[in-house]
Amino acid sequence: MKHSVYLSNKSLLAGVGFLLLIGLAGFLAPWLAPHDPLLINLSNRLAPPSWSYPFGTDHLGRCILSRVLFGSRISALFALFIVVCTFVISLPIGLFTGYVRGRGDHFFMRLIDGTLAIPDIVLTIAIVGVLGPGLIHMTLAIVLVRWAGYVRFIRSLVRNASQTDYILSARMSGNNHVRIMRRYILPKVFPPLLVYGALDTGKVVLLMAGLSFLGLGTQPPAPEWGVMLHDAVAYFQVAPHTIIFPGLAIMLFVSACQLIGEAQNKSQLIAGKRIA
Amino acid sequence: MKNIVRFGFERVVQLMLVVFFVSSLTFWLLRLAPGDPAYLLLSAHNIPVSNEALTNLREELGLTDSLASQYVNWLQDAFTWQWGTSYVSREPVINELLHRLPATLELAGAGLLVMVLVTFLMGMATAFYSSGWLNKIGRGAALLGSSIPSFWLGFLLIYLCSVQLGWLPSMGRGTLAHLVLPALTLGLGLGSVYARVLRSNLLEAMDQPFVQAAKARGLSKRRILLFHILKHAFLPVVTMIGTSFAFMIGGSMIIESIFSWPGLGKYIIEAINKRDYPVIQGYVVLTSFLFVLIHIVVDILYRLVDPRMRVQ
Repeated sequence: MKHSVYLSNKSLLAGVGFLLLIGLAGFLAPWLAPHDPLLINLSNRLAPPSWSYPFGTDHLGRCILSRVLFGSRISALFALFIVVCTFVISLPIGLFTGYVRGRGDHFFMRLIDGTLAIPDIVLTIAIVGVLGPGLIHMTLAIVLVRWAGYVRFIRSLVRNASQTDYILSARMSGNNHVRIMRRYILPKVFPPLLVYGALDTGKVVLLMAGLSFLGLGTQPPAPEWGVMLHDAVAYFQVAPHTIIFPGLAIMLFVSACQLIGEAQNKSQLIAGKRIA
Repeated sequence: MKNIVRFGFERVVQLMLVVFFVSSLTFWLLRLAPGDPAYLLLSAHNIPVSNEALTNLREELGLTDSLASQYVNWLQDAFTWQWGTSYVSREPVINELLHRLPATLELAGAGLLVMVLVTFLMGMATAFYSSGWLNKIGRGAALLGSSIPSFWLGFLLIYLCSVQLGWLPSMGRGTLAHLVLPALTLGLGLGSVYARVLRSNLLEAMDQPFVQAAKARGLSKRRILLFHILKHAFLPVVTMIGTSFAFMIGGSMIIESIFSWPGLGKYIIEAINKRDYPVIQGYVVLTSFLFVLIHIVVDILYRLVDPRMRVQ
């Protein structure tokens, strides 16, 4: 038991540590990057990793290390932005439907069932396909598709929280609904929401990379991980380093998010066992 | 039996609702979209865009009707599987889509097979030796499997197996060898994640009284695992397999693009790049339909397989 508590903390620490590292890399990119990420140098195309270009160069002779560093700004920041936007939309709806229930709840649940009945990548692609490729359209599409899952999660949390005895006693002691939501329900549902957000940030990074890879998201020449892979398609057979490093960056980011989620699952398991 | 009939009826209603929802959504999305379909259609065929040609075409496409009547027409068409003709090929959309569906189903089926194999072999092995290095590998593989971008895995496999070793073809469809790499790409990641789920189900089942009863009867550990515990732990996995099959059909566009697999996914990406709106519309309705259909079949299977569901 003691061992698994230690282990769960370790994966949480590792996850948060990796995320901080990536954030720092993005923040310090202008100072860390050895070259300009957009500087084209056709005389040095597809150069393998070397001292002056640690990750090598791409098909236009741009420094891959610099592009990966600057890429964390677009990928991580936009993923975070998407998750925050989705929360801003779904938190009021989730609170409302979980706490108030009734007809409004019914309406939203039907809408959510409808949205979740379609594979999210299909719906995202349909929306991007209609609006046209681009970073802004991709952001919009992902938010439009993902809110439903968030609302369903928040709703179930709020529902469970509002059926507890302490909410009952809070109501009996004369608190109004707004106060109950703010003082008693929100703090209770917030920690699992944070973990859900962390896990989902990883999923959003994967989705964004996939869409950009298909040419539907971020457009070249922006240094973004998915775009870098998109650009490398024609060249990776002769220069595998053009795909290895952007892919590793995506993987590191997503596994950091996964580690945080895993740690939460474990601690929940432990807490459950302790009560039982 | 009566239960199943009622259940089936409810599900058919649900299926209709989803088709209605999705077709409404795509209709309104397309009406909000920038760009005039008539203009796009003309430029797609390199016809000089004149005002006269535009008005004629708008008339022909029914774009001059009121939005409400366009909407009703579209809903009728959606439910009768008439999704118009592709702007690019001038063929009926439904033919274009159904023509490519078998390739996608083949790929999803093969990916599912890989996934199930990995889930079972790894899940059972890591449950049997629940502590030790094998389990650590399983845990690491699950973390990798859930965080590796599928297209990146595809590239690595192509580089290793096709470019370096020259064992397998990396492009197109045809022989069984063509299927190996895309199926691995599709199935490995999900399989390693589900192996963890199967493992924890198995470990949980090992504590149940019926396992102790089997032990008391003197059955061997292997026999108990294979015939008693596995049957019990398998049920939740059935649902996951169904969900993944649907997911693989929907998510195949990336894999199909990498491996030039001539299926629905590759086609839809081309359609998006050419602004072939009727194809996009038809694709979304068709995949959602398939998606819900698979879920219904899985639910029914689940009811048939699990004796506990029949009692209720």
